[in-house]
Formats: sequence, C-alpha cells, structure tokens
Amino acid sequence: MNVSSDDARYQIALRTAAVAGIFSLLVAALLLYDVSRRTLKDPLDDAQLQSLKGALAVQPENKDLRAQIQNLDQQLRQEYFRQRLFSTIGAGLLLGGIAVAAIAARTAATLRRKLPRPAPQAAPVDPDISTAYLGRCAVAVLALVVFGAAGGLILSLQSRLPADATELETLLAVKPAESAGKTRPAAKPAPKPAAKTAVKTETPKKEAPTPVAETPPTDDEIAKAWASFRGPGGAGVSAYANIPTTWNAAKGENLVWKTPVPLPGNNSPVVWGNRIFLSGATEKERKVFCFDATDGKLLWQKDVPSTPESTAKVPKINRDTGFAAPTTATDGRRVFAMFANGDIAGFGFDGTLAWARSLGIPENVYGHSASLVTYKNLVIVQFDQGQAKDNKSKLLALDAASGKTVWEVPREVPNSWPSPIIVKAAGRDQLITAADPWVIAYNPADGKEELWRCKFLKQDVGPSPVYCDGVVYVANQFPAIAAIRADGSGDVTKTHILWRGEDGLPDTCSPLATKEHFYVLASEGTLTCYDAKQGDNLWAMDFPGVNFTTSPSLVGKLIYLIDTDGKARIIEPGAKAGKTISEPELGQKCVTSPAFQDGRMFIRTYVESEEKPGQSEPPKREDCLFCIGKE
Amino acid sequence: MKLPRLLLLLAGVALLAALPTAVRGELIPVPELADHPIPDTPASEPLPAYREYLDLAFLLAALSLASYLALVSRSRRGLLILTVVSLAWLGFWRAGCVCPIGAIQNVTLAICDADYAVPLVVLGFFMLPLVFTLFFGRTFCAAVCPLGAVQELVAVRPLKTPAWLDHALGLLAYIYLGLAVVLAAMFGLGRLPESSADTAFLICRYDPFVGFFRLSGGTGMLIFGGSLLLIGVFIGRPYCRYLCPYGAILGLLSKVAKWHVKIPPEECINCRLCEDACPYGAIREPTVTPPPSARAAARWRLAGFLALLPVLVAAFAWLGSRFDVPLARMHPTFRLAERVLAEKAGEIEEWTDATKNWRDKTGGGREEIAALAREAMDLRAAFAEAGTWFGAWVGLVIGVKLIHLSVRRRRTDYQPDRVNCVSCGRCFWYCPSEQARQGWIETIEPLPSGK
Repeated sequence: MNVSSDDARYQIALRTAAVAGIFSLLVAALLLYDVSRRTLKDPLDDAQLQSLKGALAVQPENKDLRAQIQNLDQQLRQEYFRQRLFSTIGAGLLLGGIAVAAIAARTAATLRRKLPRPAPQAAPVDPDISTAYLGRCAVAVLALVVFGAAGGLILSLQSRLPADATELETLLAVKPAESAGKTRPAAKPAPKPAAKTAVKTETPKKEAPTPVAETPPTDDEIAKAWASFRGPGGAGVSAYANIPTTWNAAKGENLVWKTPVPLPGNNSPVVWGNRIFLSGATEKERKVFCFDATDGKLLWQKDVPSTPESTAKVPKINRDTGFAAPTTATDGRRVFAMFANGDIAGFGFDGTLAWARSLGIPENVYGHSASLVTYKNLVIVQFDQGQAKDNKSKLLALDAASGKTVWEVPREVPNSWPSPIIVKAAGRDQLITAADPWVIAYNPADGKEELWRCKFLKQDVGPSPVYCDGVVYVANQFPAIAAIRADGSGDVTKTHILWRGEDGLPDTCSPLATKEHFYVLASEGTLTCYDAKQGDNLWAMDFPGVNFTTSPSLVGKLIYLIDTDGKARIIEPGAKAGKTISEPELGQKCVTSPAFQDGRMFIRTYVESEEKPGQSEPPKREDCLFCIGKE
Repeated sequence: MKLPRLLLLLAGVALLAALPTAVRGELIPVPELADHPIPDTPASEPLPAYREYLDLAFLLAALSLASYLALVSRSRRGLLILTVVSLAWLGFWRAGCVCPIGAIQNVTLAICDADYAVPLVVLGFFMLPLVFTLFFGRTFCAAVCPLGAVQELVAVRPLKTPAWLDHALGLLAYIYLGLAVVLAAMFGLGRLPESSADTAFLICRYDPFVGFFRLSGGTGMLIFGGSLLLIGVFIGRPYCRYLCPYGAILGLLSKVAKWHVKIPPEECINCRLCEDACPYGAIREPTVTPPPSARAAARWRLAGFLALLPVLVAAFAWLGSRFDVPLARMHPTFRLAERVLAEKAGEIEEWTDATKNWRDKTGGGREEIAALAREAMDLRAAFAEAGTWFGAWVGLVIGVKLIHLSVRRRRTDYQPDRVNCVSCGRCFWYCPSEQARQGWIETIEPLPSGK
C-alpha cells in the first residue's frame, strides 16, 4: 500500500517511532553517564576505605576501626549493586524502546511502500556481462588487497621470539630441549573427559635454586661486610684494624693467596661472608665471578645475558674505564653487576641467575662507571648519560629479587662517574649522588622525595661523595671541595656549605673523611689533609712520579694508598703531617680499591703486555685477585 | 530518509549503551574482615536434558513452518512473525547458543578428533538446516536463524548494493569459513595445544550478536554487533551476506535444492517490477544470447582462469605459511611469551597482570622463560601449518569465484539467485501475479510479445 503522508496510521507509526527513539536515546545517555561514573570509581578503591585499612594495619586490635571498615565496605557494595541494578533495568528499557522504535518505523515504511516504475528499455541488455566483468575486477582487487594486507602484516608484525632452538640458546644461554622449534603433540581439548596424550618433549633439568632469604640485610651485617664500592656507606673505612701494613706479593710475604680473574675489569672486589665477587668484560662477553675468600678458589663464573639491542654496537669507552668499571654490589642474598653496555643482572650466591635486563647502551664519553649500591630490597643505579639538556640521566631503583624497576626519577645532569652512597644522616636514610652541577640527596625508599640539593660541582665529575658526622663531602677538579651539612631541605646551596677547599683537588680518587679530618688524593700523587669542620688545609704529602686511581682507605688510624704500579703507602696521619710507615708492593698494576675483612685485604690487580708504538690492538691484560693477610 | 536516519542514530547510540552491563566485571572480592559468615557461592544447576531436545524440536518446527510459509503459502507476514518468535526463542531465551553457525567447529573437531563426541543436539542444530536447505532452499535464513532475524528486523530502508561489490565481499564468508574450519581441525588433530580452545573456536568468539542476546558481553563485541546492526538498517543483512560461514555452506547447498522460492507463484511475465525489489541483490534478470565472437572470448577467459586456479592456490598457500606470527598472536600463550621476552630484554619496564601472574606462578627464572619461549615457538610452527592450509583455501575460493564469474548462464525470466536468496519473501509484494493470487488486483495479462 502507499498511503499519503497525512494518513492517520502513518502519522501514528511515525510519531511512535520518534517518541520511542527519543526515549531510547535518553535511556542510553543515562546509562552511559551511570557507567562512566561507575568505571571511574571502583568501590573497593575508595580513599576512605583504604585509609581505614591502613590504620587497621597499624592497630590490628582496634575493634572500632574494624566496625567502621565493615560498615563502609557494606555501604560501598550496596551502592555498587544498586548501580548494577540500575544498569540492568536500563538495558531492559533500552531494548524495549529500540524494539518499539523499530516496529513503528517498519510499519511507517510499509505504509508508504510503493511499486517501482522501471524505465523503458530500448533494447534488451544482458545484465551478466557487465556484472561478471565488474565482479571479476572486484574479486581481483580483493585478492590483491588480501595478499597485500597479509604481506604487510607479516612484514610489520615481527616476533621477538627466536627463530629456532639455537637462537633461543644464544638468547637465554640455556640448553635447548628436544622439542624446541618442532611441533609438539598436544593434550586433547576440553570439554570432554579424554585422557591427555603424553607430552613427548624433554625439558632440561631445572636447577633447584638456592633458597634466598628475602628479608633485607641488617645494619650490622652490612657493617661487617664490604658489600659495595668502598664498603659500608661508600666511606672507604675498614671495620677491621688488623690488616697487615707490610707485604710483598712477589715474595709471598703476607700473601694468603692470589688467583687469576678470567676477564679484565676495573671494578673493585666486594665481600660478604666468605664470598668475594668481581665482574669482568670484553667487547663480546660479560661475566660475574665468585671466589672463596678462604682460598681464592673460583667457585663460579656466570655469563650475563644480553639483548640484540645491548650488543648492537660496542659502547664507547675509555681504555682506563673498560667494559666492566662499575663495582658489583651485594645484599648478602644476591650479587648485582652492571656493565658499560647497560646490561645489569642479579645472581644468587650459588650463581643462579635471578634476573637480567638491559637498560640500554648509555651515552657516556668515557664509559659508564657508577657502581651499584643496595638499599634494603633495592638495587640503586645512578644512570647519568648524555648532556643535561638531553634529559636522559636518571636514578633507578630495581627490585633485588626480580630486577623490575621499583622507582625511577629523572636527573637534570649530564654523564657522570661518581657512585651513589647510602648513609644515615640527620635521622633519616639518605641516598646521595654527585654530578654536574648538583649534589642531590634522595629518600632511597621511593626516590621521588628529594631531601636536599646543592649546586656546586662542574664539568666531568669523577670522585664519589663521602659522609661523616653529619657532613657530606664532595671533591672534584672543578670547581673544588665542599663540605655540605646533611640536615637540609630543598636547595641548600646558599645555606649549608660549611667550607670550601681548593688544594689537592682529585679527578678520580674518592675522598676519605673522619670526624676530625678530611683527605683528598689527587691522581698525580698528592695527599692533602683538611680540618673536617673548619676546612683548613692542614698538610699535604707529595708522591712524585706516581699516579693514583685507587681511592684512599682508612684502616684503624692508618691510611692505605695504592698507586697504579701496585706500590702501596701506609700513612700514619698526624695533626700537622703525615708519615709513611711502610711501602709494601703488590708487584702488579692496580687501579681498583681494596676490600677489607677481618685480617684480610682483597685487591684486584693486573699485568699487561707492553704496548708497542704503532700497535693496533690493545695490550693483553690478565687480572688477578690478591688476598693480603697474616696466615 | 530523515526519520530512518534518526532511528539509525538512535539505534546506534542505544546499542552502544548496552555497554554498561558489558563493562563491569562479575567478580566482586569477598570482604576481608570475616566477622560475618561468608555464604557459599551456589553453583548453577545444569540444564535438564529435555530443554535441549525441546530446542531441537522448536528448530525442526520452525524450519518446517518457514519452508511452508516461503514456498507454499508465500506469506511475508507469516515469515515476519516467525522471525520474531525465532529471535525470542533461539536468540534471547536460549542466549544464542548452541547455534548452527558455531556448530561448524564442533563438527569439524569431531571429524578430526576421534575422541571428541559431539552432542546429538549440536549435531541436530548443524544438520537440520542443511537438510532443509537441500530440499527447500535457505528457509533457515528466512525466519529461523536468530542472527538473520535480528538483521531482518532492523532492515527498515535497505538500499540495493552493486552486484560486483556483493561478489567481492561475499568471498569473505568463505574465507571466514576456511579459517574457522582450519583452526578447529588443527585443534582436533592435536596440532594446537589444549590452551588453544578459545583460539580454535573462532566463530563463537566473534559472534557479533550474542552480546545482545545475553545482555552482556565484551565492549568490542558489542560495538562490533552494534555497528553491524547500524549498517543493517541501510545495507540488508550484512553479516549474512558477507560474513556468515554457515551461510556460505547453505548457499552452496541451496544451489542444488529440489525446490526453491520463486518470485511469481506461476509463470513470470517479465514485467520488471521486481528488478529492485530485493534488498539483498538476490534477483537475477533474464539474459540475452551473446554473439559468437563474445562466446569465443568467454571460452578463452574461462580456460585462463582454470589454468590460474592452481597458481592462486600455491601463491596463497605460500603466503599463508608466512602468516604464522599474526595467527599465533591470537593465542594468549604466544602473546605472553613475547611480552615476557620484551620485559626481560628491558624494552618494556612495566609488567602486565598476565606477566606478573606468570612470574608469581613460575618464578620467572631463565629456565621458565625458556620453556615458555619453546611453547610459543611450537605454537608458531602449528599456526604456520594452519596458515598454509588456510592460504590454499583462500586461493581456491578466489580462483573458483573467478571461474564462476566466467561461466555463462541462460535465464529467460526473473529468478532468485539460489545461492544468495534467503527466502525472506520481500519480493512477493512486488509481483503482480502474487498480487492477483492474493486478490489485491483482479487479473494480469502478459505484455504483447516484443514489448
């Protein structure tokens, strides 16, 4: 039928469709509004509820708190289910509205339906000719589109899975199972109760990992160990005074043992219990080593996994830095190592790889050298790189068990080479970093809380900060030495610098501080002593013709210096001068800092073949680990 | 066209507003402070067996009635009423499952896996429409299939689409059929592990309207279904014509059906009034005998496409064998393995819930990562095999279509296209012979010959 537009039935159908449509629209809008409110507000994430739960965690026996939580929980759940009921009813109303609108619209369309009036044809036209031709073209286009789209997907969706078992082995450094890369017969599918077919593949035996205590180390444990660069707090102060002051390694005098280190590296030993850890690297490989402190036996050496990205190019390094400059760190449960290409890994004390990841090859003109340090269950990485304006520098805290980033803060500094230190100062734990121009103290628990910052340092910053008796000391060739009170807040540049020193400025060796004195060792062989509180230059000792990169250490009242030729100088500092009481020889070169335990000093040395003029390849180097002590 | 467009907009918004019940999850954590008793969560009782057989009986009755209404009584109104009833029963009440479309996979699985027993009801849902189609044409699509029913009801002002577009887009249904069968077959043959059940049952995963039938579903699913219904207001039955894998099978069977819906009840008088009557492009006009020169060219063209067929099969099979990664990415284990490796390499620092749960469960050590990577590599190999077969199928479908479009057919009157006609009866009203049969007009006479 074809009724007129004034037809009553048509008008009723049309208006019914319009009203039902508007009704549906309103219901839809209300539902959308309701769902937007509900999806943004998870009832169990209510701030007040979370706050009450937090309070209950502190006072678990508080019955009033429990009652408040239960009541609030019930109210939130009731509101949530009320909203869901609203949605359910709304959906039903919406369905009804759409149905009425559709029926009314169809009725209106049917009432106005009219027969077609096909135009006369002059001559019969075969419809199949044009349809078939256009159809074939359309099918051909579809085929090309499907082919092209599939090809594009294949090219764009590159899988990061290895192509075969060999690549997997390389990626993960594991033995391939028999089935790797092959199709395995699978178990039968659900939902019927068929027996599963046996899986025919063999998987490699899984090593049972040594159980790792997950509680962080105590302060006492840390104080007794030498768990990171320059020991507890990065201070370079031995907890043990019973270290020999004389030795001759070539003659075996006071040499308990020495053992070769398989790969070169400029990182210093760290010690926990009877375990000594070192790392070594070349362009192509990176390893972590574990030695027995009793006899120097190499207990294990493990490869650190890399990624195609971290090995895509050789990181730019200075020969003095090398590929394994950062000293490892341990929390007594695991040992952590980092390398010049940004690879970082954690191993159990039995050598089991806990985790490994790549932070990316850092942009560092001399090579990354900031050592790792641990804080409770975190591994702290000072990852300064590039120029300050590049905004690439950052401070990261990784979970010691998993390697996952716990927190990360950007730093407005360029590449730098000091290591961070963690100390307890002004009643709080402080993570102190030094770079150009900022010395910044962070809350090591979350990094986001910046305790204080001081603008002082300039250009390439090499020495690490030290702390003693409420004062943080930083020293660098540019501009000078600064003693900064550690009890500040915010920018303390103008308020907390106690004194400034300009003599004997170091470029590599980190300083040494006691309550009374502050010492700096310049690379060209000058040891300078300052008054720790006033900053007066008290005395200096020159060691002409020698260079130092080993930072000075304090053992009892004596200062241990080791030059790059491996000759040590044991200094007895006085109020007005220092006195050399012995000059023991290691017999090998040394650029690293010693680690001290009860009656023992552990030091990494090396021998290097002579470099000949015009020689393209670098001289060969063989590293060694010495244990000095009375047998 | 203003009112239908407004309704179109309203329908679209309304359908999108079905999201509220879809977005919120069903799981609410139990209160932590257990001073009050926490009730046991009751398990749903299984449906009694008679309910399933009742549904099968309804299907049989509806198919019989639809065939009667389409072929014998030729009642468009009756078909519409049956459409509404089928939608209510098989769609909303039975929540759209089991349906013959998804049953393709169950049957494939049963063929490939001797240990898998397909339930009788599922077999009945799969076979009955096929049997009826062999005899009566696509009467299942006319008024019984709930997916077709909902599309039929929203087709308020459908427009006619160009035939060449229908030819091209119609291939997608065959491609979809091939993909679903290949994945189900791979799963049944044990090439895909047990964890692939969700991936293998593709048709059920991507059913566009089940979310509406159940009044809940994933956001993407509801948007997809809503979009199809929106399009369906102007382009009739888009899912049936371009995507339905079961419709692809029914179309092939309908081609050889013993009986089929006819436009006029008796002889066609070539009045041309039904030319534009079908919104689904399923009416074929009479052909004209071509000159001899055109016939020779057509024969050469047909020979060429016949020769091209194996080339197409080989080319697409090769392409399919390279499609392993895109296919494997449908599998959650494969995606998990890629994500874990990326996190391990430090390319991504944040863990997802999936990777965190996996690490909590397995420890996430090197050996565990290696095992996961091997499993994913095996999956990739399995999907490469599936891709090869699927690619060959796609090549075959394209080649056969090109051949089909090169074969001359002779028609002397207006006929429904047996493959595409869904026997909906919309064309009846346009036919003066039908109008005479219904008593709406007195009589008709054929035009003088030559006019």
